[in-house]
Parts: sequence; structure tokens; C-alpha cells
Amino acid sequence: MSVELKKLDIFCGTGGVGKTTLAASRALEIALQNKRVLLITIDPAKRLKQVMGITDDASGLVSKVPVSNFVEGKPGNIDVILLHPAATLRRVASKKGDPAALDNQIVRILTRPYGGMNEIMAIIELQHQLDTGNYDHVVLDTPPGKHFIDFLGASAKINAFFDGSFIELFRIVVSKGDKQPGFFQKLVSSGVKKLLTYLEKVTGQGFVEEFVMAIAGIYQNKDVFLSALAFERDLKRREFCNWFLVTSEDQIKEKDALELKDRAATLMHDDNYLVVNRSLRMALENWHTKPNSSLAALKDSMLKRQNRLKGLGAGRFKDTLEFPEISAAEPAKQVALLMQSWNDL
Amino acid sequence: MSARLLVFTGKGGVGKTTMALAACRALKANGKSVLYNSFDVPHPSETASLDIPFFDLHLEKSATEYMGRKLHSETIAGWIMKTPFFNALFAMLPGLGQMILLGHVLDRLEKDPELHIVLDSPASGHTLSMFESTHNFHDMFKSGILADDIKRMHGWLSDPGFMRVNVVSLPTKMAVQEGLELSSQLEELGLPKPHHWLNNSMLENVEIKNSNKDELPEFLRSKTELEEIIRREFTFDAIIPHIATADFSEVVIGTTTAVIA
Repeated sequence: MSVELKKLDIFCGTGGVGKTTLAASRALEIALQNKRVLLITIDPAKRLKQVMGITDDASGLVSKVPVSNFVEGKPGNIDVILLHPAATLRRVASKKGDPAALDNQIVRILTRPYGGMNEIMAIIELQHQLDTGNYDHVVLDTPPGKHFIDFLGASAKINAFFDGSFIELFRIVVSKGDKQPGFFQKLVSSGVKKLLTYLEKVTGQGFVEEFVMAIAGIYQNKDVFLSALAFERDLKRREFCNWFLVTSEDQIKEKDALELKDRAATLMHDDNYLVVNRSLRMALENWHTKPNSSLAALKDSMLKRQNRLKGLGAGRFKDTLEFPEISAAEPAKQVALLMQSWNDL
Repeated sequence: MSARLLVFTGKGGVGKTTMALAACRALKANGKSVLYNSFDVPHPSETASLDIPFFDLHLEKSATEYMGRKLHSETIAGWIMKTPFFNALFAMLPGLGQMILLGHVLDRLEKDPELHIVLDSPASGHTLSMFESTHNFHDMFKSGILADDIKRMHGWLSDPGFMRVNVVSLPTKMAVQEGLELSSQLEELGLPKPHHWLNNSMLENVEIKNSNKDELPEFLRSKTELEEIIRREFTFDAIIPHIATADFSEVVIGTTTAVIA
């Protein structure tokens, strides 16, 4: 059984289960079918980054990665973006908004790689890349665990942010066309003065002023953010994307995967796969131990770990996909073997 | 283990929670007063059967309490925390919330000089952002009560006698290199030099140690060979064996024995 090719593949799961390596192998495998493929990844391990030829300077930019880095002699390449929130904001704002309004210390800190806007920026980047029409297929590697839920909730956050009565206030002030320091004075005189006096007591005045400017800048660029909302609609369309919830046999907290699935249930549609990574099934089937030996006990515990995941997919997922444990030390070799596994499914 | 704040961090899935819970049990066995905390992430349900005392933090409650103390009025603090302005502030600046939670952890330790806290910290990147945010916000706030509090916080966090950071890795080259990278980044932020833990060691696994090496199946032979290479190349402060069970509590109990040893 092969997995149907759609516009988008989304990989999610808790940390350390191998999402990034699996997503990379899927993207490369599709590229072999002569498709234009983009891989968006959040934070790959340094060595995988090296294999993909992405340096820290290239983060946020589109890098071309030849398939032959992984499988010798194969033609073609994929585009890879190592997500960098600041680069996304710059790229999209210069097309749809006013980048100058975002030149603010707080916005800069917020859009650092772990500044807190990763999830929103990931959706914006994805929508932007889909809009370019440059790709037949996009593979998205999402942030681990709880941050994946933040990712799914990003559009709600955007909506809430631009709908809030709080923002209404800024809209009135900004619409008067005053972006300069007087803007803050106006805001203070418009009724929130008392509130801000309290805030200033704790943070100092410089911060409040800077923060107000940051919000105003983001508001002026609201089209950048609102454009990403179209994406949420597409996520619910079965013919648009496949969901892969990745688990791994060596993870001891298997319940985390289900919890993730349950919390994401409102957004995921039924074309979703449970991926069991690093499966020892084949290895264990071929391992014959002496009864009551110490290794028999070890094997037994590994079988038990494997069995916990067995029933996990039933009734909840369209199918369960199994990828074997790979003992190769080199990331490129691991990716190449996983490409083969996608092909063998 | 004389430090009073033990932080466990590392890449996702390396066993931070297991190590943190085991460290709690080890401290308790030593007669120390200890609490487990994982910030605003709910504590694992196994704390009950493992008999590990814990506390949970709630961002909004913690922030209101903090503001209340600073403004000398819980009522005003409650009122301003409910305004859309503050909701937006916390939604947009998650680092601010994390910093307030960290402040609460430090407060507890300051109030009770006998107490130890084991912090099951978020995965590498988010731990970095948490410690980094104390620097970011210090730069942002410049003056004011918050800036002073952050300065005080830095004093605590840079004292190796007070805080110990443990970076957990698995026996694969990728995981160990990421752990080392994280550790040097944490040091750059002014934290004490982290300790390195290697978790899930197949070479230290009891069942493997008790058997003949020739009996190992191919996949375990290559696993142990890879681990040998890693242990020749890198040094670790503690090595925790793979515990042969599928039950999380049993893994914690097995790990505790290794931690005490």
C-alpha cells in the first residue's frame, strides 16, 4: 500500500521520535517521482542540517538539496527551508505589508527562533509558499508535542488578536496616520492611561512604549497574518493533505501520542496515519533466545514496548505505517534507508 | 548533589522526565526535602504511585500573584491581568510567562532553605529560550522593578552551588552532539557548566551484561558497537542503563537505583 500523493504532508508527534528524518525521506522520495517538492523543517539536528547543506546563515532561506546527497547517482533535488520566523516575516511583509513598521526591538526578539512566534510564522510561511505555485508538493515538519498544538491553534490566535477590542483601540490611533512618538501619548490620553501606569511601575516606561509600537507595527501588517487563515480551511480538506502522527517504539510515554491526536482531532481529518518509527518487529522476529535466559527477559520487554503501540492506531487512524529501526550512524544513510521504506510500504 | 535547583534538559525523547523523577526519589532516599516541577506542563500521573511530591504552576495565577506583590494589591493585579492588554502581552511574549514561573520556583527555594526542587524543563530549544528570555527582558525593561528582579535571578542562576543543569543524551552521535551544543549555549548564557548524562545505555543494561556477547542479535551488536565508539569519543558525568521493561514507573525505579549508585 502506498500513501496517496496530495498537495501537503504534515508530520507531527512528540519530541525525539524522528519526525524530521522521516519528513526529509518522504520529500526526497517524492522528488524521485519527478515532482517539485519543498520541505519546511523547524529545527533539524545539526548533522542532518549538514547533510542537507544548510548552514546557520541559510536559515530562513530556500536551499536546494540534491537527492544524490542521499542516494548516489539519483537525479533531481528538493528545496528546503529551515524555518526562521524573522526571515518569514521579512519575506511576507515585503510582499503584502509594511516591513518598516516591524522594525522594532520587541518584534525582533519575538521573531528569534524561540521567541514565541514560531507557530504563527510556520503557517504564514507555508501559505506563502503554497501561493507561489512553485511546488507540486510540500512536506511540513511541525514542532514537537505541545508546540504542535500551539501550531494548530495559531490561526485562532491570529483571529483573536486582530478581533480583540484591545486592537480596536490601536486601529483608531494608527488610522490617524501617526506612527511617531506622539502616538504613545495619544494612546495614554485615550483611556488606558491608568492601566499603563500600573504596567510601567513594573516594567519601566521604555518597555510600554516599545510594546505599543510593536503591536501597532503588527497591526499595520495584519494582511500578512490574516492571509495565513486560508490555510486552516485547506487543512480540513481530505484531498488536500495527509496527516502523519509519528510515534517511536523506544518511547516509553506512548500515551503522549494519543493525547496529541485527541487534542488535534478537531483539525485533523480522517486521512491520517499512525507512523510507528524505529520498529524492532523484524529484528525481534529473527531473534531466538534461550528460555529463561537474561536476554529472553530483555527481548520480552522489547516485545511489550512494541505491543503497546499495536492497538494504538485501531479505529483512530486510517492506517498504521511501520518503519524499521535503522542502525546506521550517518544521517544521510538513515534518510536513504527510510526513502526505501516509503517505497516498500 | 548539594545544589538546590536541579534542572533536567535535552532533546525531545531523551528521558528528561524519567531522570527528573528518579532524581527526586534519590534525593528523598537521602532524607532531603524535594519537590518535582515541570512548569505549567501538568505533572505525570505516575508521581502518585512513585510517591514523589510535586507542585504545579499556572501561568495566569503566578503572574497575578507576582504583580500583586509588586503593586501591593492582589485586587488591582487581578483586575489588570484580566484586561485584553495583558492577555495580549502574555500571548505574544511567552518568555515573559516562563520567566515569572522561574521566579516562582526561586521564591519557593528562598522561603524554605531546606527545600530542593527538580525542574523537568522543556526540550532543548525551549529551555534555551527560557534562560535567554531573562537576558532579553533585562535589556527591554532596563529600569523598573522587573529589571531588578531579573538581576537578582541571574545571581541565583549563575551559582553552581545553588543550581545544577543536567543535559541528558542518548547513545547516538546526533543526540550527544546536540547535547554538547545545548550545553555550551547554556554556559554562554551565564549558567554553571552543565553535567552530561547518557541515558538508555545498552552496554550498562543488566541483561546484556549478564550474557555472552556472542549471543547478541545483530541489531543489539551494532547498537552496542555504536555506543562503544561514542563513549570513547565523549565523556559523561553519569551513565544510566537501558531498563528492560515497558512500564514507565518501573523505568523510573530502575533509573533511581542507577542515579543513587
